[in-house]
Amino acid sequence: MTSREVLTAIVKDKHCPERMGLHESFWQDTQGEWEKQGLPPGVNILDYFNLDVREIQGSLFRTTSIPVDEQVLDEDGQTVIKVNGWGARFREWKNRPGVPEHLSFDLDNETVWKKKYRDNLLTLDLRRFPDVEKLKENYRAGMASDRFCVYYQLIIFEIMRKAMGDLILLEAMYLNPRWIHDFCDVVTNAIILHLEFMIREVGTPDGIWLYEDMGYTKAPFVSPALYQEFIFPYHRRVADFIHSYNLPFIMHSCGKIRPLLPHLVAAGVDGLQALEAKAGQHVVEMAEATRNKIAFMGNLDIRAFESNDPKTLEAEIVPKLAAVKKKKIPYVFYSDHSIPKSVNLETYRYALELHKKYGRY
Amino acid sequence: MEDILKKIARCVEKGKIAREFPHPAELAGQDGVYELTKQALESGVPPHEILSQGLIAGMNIVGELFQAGEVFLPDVLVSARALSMGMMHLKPYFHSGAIKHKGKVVIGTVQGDLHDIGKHVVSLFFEGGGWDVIDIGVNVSAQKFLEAVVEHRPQAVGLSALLTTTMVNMEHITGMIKSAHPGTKVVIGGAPVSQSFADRIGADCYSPDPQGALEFLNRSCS
Repeated sequence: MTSREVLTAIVKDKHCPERMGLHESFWQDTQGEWEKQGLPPGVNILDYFNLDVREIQGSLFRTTSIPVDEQVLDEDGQTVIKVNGWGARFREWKNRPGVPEHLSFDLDNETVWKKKYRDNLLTLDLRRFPDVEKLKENYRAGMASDRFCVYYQLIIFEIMRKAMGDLILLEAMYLNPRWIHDFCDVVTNAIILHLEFMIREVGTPDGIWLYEDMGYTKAPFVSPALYQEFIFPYHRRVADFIHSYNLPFIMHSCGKIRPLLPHLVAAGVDGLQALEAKAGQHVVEMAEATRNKIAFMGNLDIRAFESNDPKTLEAEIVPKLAAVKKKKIPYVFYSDHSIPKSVNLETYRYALELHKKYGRY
Repeated sequence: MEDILKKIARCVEKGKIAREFPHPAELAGQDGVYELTKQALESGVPPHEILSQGLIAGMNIVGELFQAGEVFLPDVLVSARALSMGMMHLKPYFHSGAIKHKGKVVIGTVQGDLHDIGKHVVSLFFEGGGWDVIDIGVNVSAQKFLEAVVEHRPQAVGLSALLTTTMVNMEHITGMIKSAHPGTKVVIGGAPVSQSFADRIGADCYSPDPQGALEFLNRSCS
């Protein structure tokens, strides 16, 4: 079976084909480190490791109200201060990954939302796409391959966090619910409008992969009740749109989102990734709770990879794959985060060997 | 008197900031922390009792519920906002020395890490628990932590890290603080941190949640 056939069976049909899927994300500095350890320079790392999924480059359209890329405001030797199209300022590292520092948010109340930001999102705006012609080329190349190709995008909760920051957002859910509902409604319509344009003008991919970080290690950012009130209706609307094209809806979320799982299934999520293990989540327990109604991707504890100890890696991967196989869980082999440079190339190669050996249904 | 203190505590717990705020629905149209604290002072309730039996008591309930996973971050933030309304009225009493903080805590995110949300939430709990919090920011070097200890003479220092790649810096910072100021307690927290890591680097306390860290401060430092 091709990558496309395997992933379609798992994520769209929730079946277990001949093998478990295989995919991974890598921190931006991992490849450079691995080149020092013997990875051929400049290779496409996804092709090199024969991973199943391809994000169609250029499909990440701008979801900020003002459709511009982040602008650099200031920098020092190590960090850079940027402002995004919501007027939010962040400080981030220049040459390494990490979570940015939140400095200030222009969008801190409903009046500013209505006055400066809301109306920009009401219509199709082609400035949101970096390069439509290039996107078409990338789409054609991706679909000509046998990989499972997805459009990828941030969605509602993640967009709100970038627009107004965690603190303003989470407070406003209680203190100004009308504003948050309006924000979610407008942003959801904008996402659908622009996805629709891509599908119509560029083409239909194999799936839509949406990024929505809704948890941290201990809990979801919001209670299931707040999720149900503020986020669920808009996830449902996005899911209905995606399903109207007979496509699967894959959602990424870091952190502990187990308490939200029944709501995500009800919203129409088809595949859930990354299932952070250190947040106390286990793919088998989650699959049993959902009766295999959705596919799972991830849950291989990144700390086992970072140990660079084959025995520790085996202890994490082998029993989990055995349980996935026994319970017939539609599953994609994937760490529970991205692979940082502290994971040795040899370790990752060994993980792939374990997938090959134990990742067949 | 007891009644109004209980009301203040309940308003902090429920996030009832002031009368004008409709949240929570069950207390809509009623006085919030802002009005009740003012009324308590006007009716002669000692400020330290308002602080300990009203504001801190309410925040303590939120901390316990948060620790138990029964409330979530939005609840904590709105409760902290409500508490800050009461603190506004008590500010003059802190300045005059009529009421005092339990002690000082210097808090920062360790070098290599720009993450600030976790630190912010922990600070809210420490402040809500009656501690004077000196937040020295993110990407803080061992030297800057040491300078802050010298300047503020805190009972404890809180170190936060989000990444496995940055938590290793906690060891160096803890070592430097402990060798220069052995009496200063070091409290660590963050997603990748564990009790075994805290034991290994010689930190005095690891807590997976803010309430546990606050309880350590109350138990060991005040």
